Amino acid sequence: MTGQGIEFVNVTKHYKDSSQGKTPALQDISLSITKGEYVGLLGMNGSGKSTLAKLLNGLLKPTDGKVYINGLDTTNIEQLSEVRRLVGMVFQNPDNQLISPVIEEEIAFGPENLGLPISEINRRINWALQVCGLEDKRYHAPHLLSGGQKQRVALASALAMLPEYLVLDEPTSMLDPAGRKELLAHLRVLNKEEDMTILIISHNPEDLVQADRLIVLDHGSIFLQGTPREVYANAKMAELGLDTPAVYQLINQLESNGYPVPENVKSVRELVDYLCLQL
Amino acid sequence: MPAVVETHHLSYTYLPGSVYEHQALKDINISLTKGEFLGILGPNGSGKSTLAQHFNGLIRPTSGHMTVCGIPTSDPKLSKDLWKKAGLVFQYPEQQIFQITVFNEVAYGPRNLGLPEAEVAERVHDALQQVGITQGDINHLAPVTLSGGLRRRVAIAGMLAIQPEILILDEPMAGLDAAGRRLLSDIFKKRHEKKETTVMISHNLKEFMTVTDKIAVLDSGSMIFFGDVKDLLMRPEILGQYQLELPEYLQVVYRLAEKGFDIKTDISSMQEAGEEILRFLQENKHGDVTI
Repeated sequence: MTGQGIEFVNVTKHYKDSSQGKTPALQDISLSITKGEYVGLLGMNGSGKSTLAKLLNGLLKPTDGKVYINGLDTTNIEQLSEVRRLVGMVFQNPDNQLISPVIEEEIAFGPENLGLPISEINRRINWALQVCGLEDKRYHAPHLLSGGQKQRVALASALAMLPEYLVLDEPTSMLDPAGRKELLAHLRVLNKEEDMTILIISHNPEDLVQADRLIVLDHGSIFLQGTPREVYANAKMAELGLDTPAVYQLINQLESNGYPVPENVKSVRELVDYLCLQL
Repeated sequence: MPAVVETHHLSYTYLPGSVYEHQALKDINISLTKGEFLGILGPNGSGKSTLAQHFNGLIRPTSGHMTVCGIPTSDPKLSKDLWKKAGLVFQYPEQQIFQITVFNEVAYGPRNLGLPEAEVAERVHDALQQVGITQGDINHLAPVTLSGGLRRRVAIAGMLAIQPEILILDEPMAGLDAAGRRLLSDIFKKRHEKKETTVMISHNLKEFMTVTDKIAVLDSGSMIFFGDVKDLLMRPEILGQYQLELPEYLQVVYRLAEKGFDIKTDISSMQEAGEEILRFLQENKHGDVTI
């Protein structure tokens, strides 16, 4: 396997002892993510989303099948550090990944390990602090921050590595509304301008509408894939008990009553503008 | 109605006298009567969790005072009684699970209350049922083998099994899927019907649209707003400043109304909003709709 992008080839992941008994957490997943893509991953709790995320940087190894990052096999110990440089992770619970007593050090940890010059490390710290709205917290202690602020620190640390692939597991779950919007705007910029590939896991449909592609997992298998509009218009989503963004519910209701709405309408503002044009 | 929660000029400072000294709460005055549901909103670092931890005496006011179920939370001699009445579910409570089986985890609280084992079992069963875990075979599994969502439910069941008079939850919806969120909403609705007091922290105003009686909005430790949800909806300057989002269906009709169109804004569900928008389109369009 060579080339750019993420490749899952018939990946199955079994945990030794699990509530599902013999059902694997992931079952025969084959999947390609192209470099520069913005992908949203959704599914019920326990559908295998976090397992899939941890397979991406070799934190978990597939029981069967292979995961390749830019052609590098995640089970090959010699290539693992390169895999981890390529794939940045922001975990669900920030307490699981914060290790330093000072935020500046926390963010510097990754770039220092890459052996970068001090000036470059500083440049990255400044940039990551600014992106995450933490400039005034530079010399604070991460463990004295609130949950949402810790989540921002975890994100800043991952960004400072300038990964080619950024994997975010529920990154907005504890952010305040302003912080959430900022983060989503930054992800869009990182994706469009820095060509960073984004894989975001979220239960909040509003976090996912700006993705190029959504992948829906159910019981460890891929249930559905497509653009956000395609996925949220699919009647099967309700079967799974997943939330559809309110905007799409309104659009679906309008369309089923004979008012087609163009594909590019994705937000409240766009829907209101479109409705006004109809008058 | 006597107040079940009352604070008078409550203030709290972390690490006073150190370089990290930080006043997390400033002059907070709230009052809740039995059965009320309080929602706490506010930006990251505004003091929400600090306030939540005052409810069961985990943190005691630096100045001012607080009573919960008639117990002054500052009195260490009464803290044993307070823990039984005020149950606090932390952020990411699944991280605090420590027993080796689901049953033992949920039974931990009731056992500490000194209840006979038969009643403990009954409470465990009941609490797990409330969080939607009805398969008995899960009871003997190790919680670490469950998915994050299930572990969250187990952790919340552990608190429900204590049957606290007042339940406080710090961002319980964070990271839960739609089914999990609906399940929690149902639990809150039932508590509300049974006149049991509940306090919840969230960033999402939408989660407070169904059962909430009172809303507190904190910012940098001060209380910007305390009152009825309906009154908060009438304060666009607060909603705007903290980017508190109304449900999207309301945003659509509000924006159309703002633009001067004749559209009903007194709407309480998505279905109703859709119907109103359709009516509005049919009555107002001139010419054919472009397809």
